[in-house]
Amino acid sequence: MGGVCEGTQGLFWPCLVDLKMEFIDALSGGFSSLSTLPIALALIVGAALGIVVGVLPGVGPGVTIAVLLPFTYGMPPLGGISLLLGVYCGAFYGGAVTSILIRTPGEASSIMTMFDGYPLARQGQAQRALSLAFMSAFVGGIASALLLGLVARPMASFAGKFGAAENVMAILLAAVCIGKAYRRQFPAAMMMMGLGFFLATVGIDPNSNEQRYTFGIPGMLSGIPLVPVAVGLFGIAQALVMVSSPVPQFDSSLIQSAGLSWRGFLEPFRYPKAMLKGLFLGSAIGVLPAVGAALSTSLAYFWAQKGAKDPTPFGQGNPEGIVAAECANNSNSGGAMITVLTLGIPGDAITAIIMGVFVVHGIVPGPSLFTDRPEIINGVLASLLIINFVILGLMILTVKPLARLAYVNPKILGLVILVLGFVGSYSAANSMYYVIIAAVFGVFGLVCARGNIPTIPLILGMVMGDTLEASLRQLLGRSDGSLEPFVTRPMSLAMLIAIVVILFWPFFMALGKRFQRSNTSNPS
Amino acid sequence: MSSLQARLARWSWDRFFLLALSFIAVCVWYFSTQLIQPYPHNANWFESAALFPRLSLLIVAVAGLIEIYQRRHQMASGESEELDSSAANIQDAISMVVAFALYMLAVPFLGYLISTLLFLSVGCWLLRFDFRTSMLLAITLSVTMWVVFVKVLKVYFGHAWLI
Repeated sequence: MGGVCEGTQGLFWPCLVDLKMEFIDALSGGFSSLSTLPIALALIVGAALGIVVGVLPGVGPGVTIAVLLPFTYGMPPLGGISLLLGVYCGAFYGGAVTSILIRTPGEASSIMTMFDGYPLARQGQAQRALSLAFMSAFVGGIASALLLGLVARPMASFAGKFGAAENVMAILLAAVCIGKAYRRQFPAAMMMMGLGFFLATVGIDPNSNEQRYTFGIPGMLSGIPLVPVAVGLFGIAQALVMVSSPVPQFDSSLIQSAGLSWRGFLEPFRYPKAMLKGLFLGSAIGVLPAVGAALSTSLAYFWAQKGAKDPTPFGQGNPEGIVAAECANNSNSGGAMITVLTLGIPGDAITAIIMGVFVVHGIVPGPSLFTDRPEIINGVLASLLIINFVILGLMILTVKPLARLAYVNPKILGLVILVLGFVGSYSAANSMYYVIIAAVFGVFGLVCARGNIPTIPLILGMVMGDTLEASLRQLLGRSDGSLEPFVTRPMSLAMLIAIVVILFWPFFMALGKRFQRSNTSNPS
Repeated sequence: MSSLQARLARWSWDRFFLLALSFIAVCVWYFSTQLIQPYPHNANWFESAALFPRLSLLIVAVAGLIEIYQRRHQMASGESEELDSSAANIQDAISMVVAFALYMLAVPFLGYLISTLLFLSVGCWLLRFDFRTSMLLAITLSVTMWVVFVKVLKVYFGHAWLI
């Protein structure tokens, strides 16, 4: 892990050359890891499936990845990860089709594409809008994969210096950021995060072999497994909503005009500013925990409005709106994988489930992964690059018939997801206990959705809970229960300060405003 | 007392749900000494197996109570990736949950193929699909699933009376 210019005494150029060589080595290693038939097939199938679920009404990558997760058990780890990454990235592309043609964004992150894509399609330029969106998403995807390759290794070598105190603080910082992403629902998000932490502790304690909260149920001795919880919260809950919601009505007249234009493919490069804004925000926000693609696309869209080259008003078919939004949307994937690979902290619900593949195969994501299993890191990097080429190729070949998938009745899809959720959770351990957990969490997810209570933090809490507890106990054991190491270690202290600032920011702001008001009303 | 009752009557169900979750968290926190077997009474607090779960439960309880207090005003759902169930018909959802529960119970006895066929037929009927569509969907899907999962992927559902 010598990629952070240790031997170069701060010389910038040799450092950059080192980084470049390391990157090329990693990439060639990654390509060779992917060159086996099962992994290549998994990658292609994942990409195709991702595109399809992006277009299908009501089915998002979260549901698909949750339902597919159990089937990755029998695959090689890189095959499973490639399959799920394919779905993750493919859905970004597929979501643009319905946003542009029927004004129905499949994902929250595709809303901004709809604002200018649909008006363009209405003006008879559907092919131009689709081409703009796909090429922008492609550029975003490639840029984010390159960013992952360049940033992940130095970041991992930095994270390698983390001790237990830093691990605890990093996870707590991530937890607070996740909560803050829910704005006014911060307490609800923290509540679900706490519930996730708690659920991660159920079962036999690895340190003391005591049975914790098993209620004498033999199945619970091994804990509450992540797979059926994910299938329940994301698959079954979504399916229940789909079967019980009215079929959405849409104007299907534009579906016939689906297609691509070569001029449209080159057009995004005429707006480098919009592209760079999207890339910057997408990658930067992708790294932050829980702040998903939806925020980055909306910020990129509004930023692109400033200094736009095209005179068409935004919201009436300005191509720069599509370019910025799609670049931001697809550049999230690489950013979100950075924290998973380097810190073992998922960026969002989907990467949390992808992390499940690591967990299932006994691989611990984090800095040690770069030395212990470099083929996984390099494989993920190469996968992200290849997936974007595969998806773009598939989109070019199939966009016309693909658009017709928007006609599929979501109620039928809901039934299919329920059946797949059943067999998926069962096959994870050939046990009905897993199906019962999936069903219970499916109902719980539906109730939470009905009550406007977020459930994504629960999964994130479950994924991070084990590491948080292990690090906390390790630290407290070494310091005889003293909390001093949190403030004596500089990195830990910096993260602690960040947590306090994030938590109390509204109070600081309110105090500042109060102070300002009292000054203006009382100038003396 | 009556003012408290009047206040509670104005509460929406989601606040009761949050209250129930917080209450359960407090109960589990309190009974941790019985729910952890054998409970490490002599262990230092920082070495105890109860430390982390109890801290987590404390977060659940406190955050839940703050959320209940915040929800005295209508909450606006923000722009998030969370599931939107605002248009869902809860009765339809409940009947599907019941059908799914029966499906779970049926598989060990009737076998995967027959149970899936029955579940899909009942599901289609609950969703008010016409008979032809229902049969076509149920037969095609259940046979496909059976071939893929039982025959090709060799998922074993145990010995059942039927297939």
